[in-house]
Amino acid sequence: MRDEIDYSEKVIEVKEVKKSFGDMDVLKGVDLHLYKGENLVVLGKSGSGKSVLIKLVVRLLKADEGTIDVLGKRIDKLSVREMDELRLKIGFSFQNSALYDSMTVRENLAFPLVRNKRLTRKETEMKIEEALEDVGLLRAINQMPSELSGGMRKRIGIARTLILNPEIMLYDEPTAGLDPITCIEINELINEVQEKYHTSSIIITHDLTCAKQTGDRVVVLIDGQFKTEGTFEEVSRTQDPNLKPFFDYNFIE
Amino acid sequence: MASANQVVEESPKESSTPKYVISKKIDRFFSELYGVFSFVARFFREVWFPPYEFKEVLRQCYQVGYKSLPLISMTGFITGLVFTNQSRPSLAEFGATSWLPALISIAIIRALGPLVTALIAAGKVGSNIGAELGSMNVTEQIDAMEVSATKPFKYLVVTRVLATSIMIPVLVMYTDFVALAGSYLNVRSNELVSLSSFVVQVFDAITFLDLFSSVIKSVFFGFTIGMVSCYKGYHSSRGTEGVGKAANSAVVASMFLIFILEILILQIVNAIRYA
Repeated sequence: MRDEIDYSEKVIEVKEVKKSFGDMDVLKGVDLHLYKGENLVVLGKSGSGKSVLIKLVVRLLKADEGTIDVLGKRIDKLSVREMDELRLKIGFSFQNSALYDSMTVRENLAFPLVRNKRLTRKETEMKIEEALEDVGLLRAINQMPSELSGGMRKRIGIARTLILNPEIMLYDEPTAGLDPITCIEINELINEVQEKYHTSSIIITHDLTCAKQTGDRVVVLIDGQFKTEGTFEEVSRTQDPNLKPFFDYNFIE
Repeated sequence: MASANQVVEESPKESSTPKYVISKKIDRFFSELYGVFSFVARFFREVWFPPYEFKEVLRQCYQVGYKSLPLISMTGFITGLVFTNQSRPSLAEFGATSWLPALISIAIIRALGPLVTALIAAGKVGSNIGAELGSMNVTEQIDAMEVSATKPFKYLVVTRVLATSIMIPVLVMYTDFVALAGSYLNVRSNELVSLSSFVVQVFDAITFLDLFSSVIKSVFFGFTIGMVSCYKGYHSSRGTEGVGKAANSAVVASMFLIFILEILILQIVNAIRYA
């Protein structure tokens, strides 16, 4: 576990949050907190509500009940403008990277930057190059997203969020659909980002290797409720009959 | 939350209470209606304030206007030519073929030009916008813009609606011109009318109200095409099927609303004309 984690400061605090879609209750009153400097992994099967949880944190979705505080601000009380200001401090890496496919990599990175920061053209270019160097893909600067591999797209997606120097990173299935070697590279990148940018992160995944390599703390979401919490080693030794099969079938030494 | 290694009892299954106020279909209809009004209201709230995204508006004007020119030119020309040809026998019965330029100009400028242009634009531009935004929605590109505080509504919707509202009237004027050119070609080859005589008859027949109402109508058509297509794309359901549905419903809804608008505006213009 990292030394830089500040257990006295919670950057995200989710209390009794419920979310339903029609008749389907996805989150049934979940509580969650993220400490400053921590990498928190949310494990769970597909469809268990993991992605919904982090979409609630950035207010892409609205909770039916409960409260969410991010960096000390209750998000349901914020105006659109205040929420936008808060969002600048949160980086969101999407499952399928969500790169703007009609723009080059350079334009993808410039898009949030020129709209949120007052920078000269030279400063913008320097920031773009720095972010691409951090993910090891400066060579792809003029390429279109369609010309990139899945792993490269994930890296560019992360670079696009890093360019605004976020305090919190939210990764939605960062290793989904990637080969094992690229998965390990992405896991290492998540740790490098945490070290360089001193971010606090929530990593949503069902990949146990990713959870093991990146998580300081792991929580498991089953059927819209958190069932267990601890380090990866603690959680993977669980005897809970609802959770055990998840680890038995997936675990990779 | 339990700590690791603790066996946690399964929580009792929550009762599935009905979540619809009246019925699923009626709720969905009113919710859709509310969504459309909110969308239009949001446009009028956001269009006045910076950032203005001029570059994107220009790019969209190019997409809507310049890229539609070949199709509009061909359709407008053929409409003028065919309409003239089909109208001749009726006028010939009364020995009134000399009225052809006047009849054609009134028909084209009052109704055919705006209607044909709007319907073609609904098909070409509407499906394009619906599919593009639908695809961006499905691949979470709109969400990515939202979470990076880059105001996707302004960048994607306001720019496109402005572009269609500006360019459709321009395209309508161009269609009027091309359709009259097609008509002239037909009249020239049959009645041997000179260009100057044709132009004089055309402008004698139409009034300022005809031109003004044509332009205003086109602005409404353009606004409707842009707004409906953006709404359908922006709120497309997830999955590739959602993209197809968004494109399709953008065209169908735009065309339907164009006909409704045509009837409404015709009533208003007639009320002014005969007041």
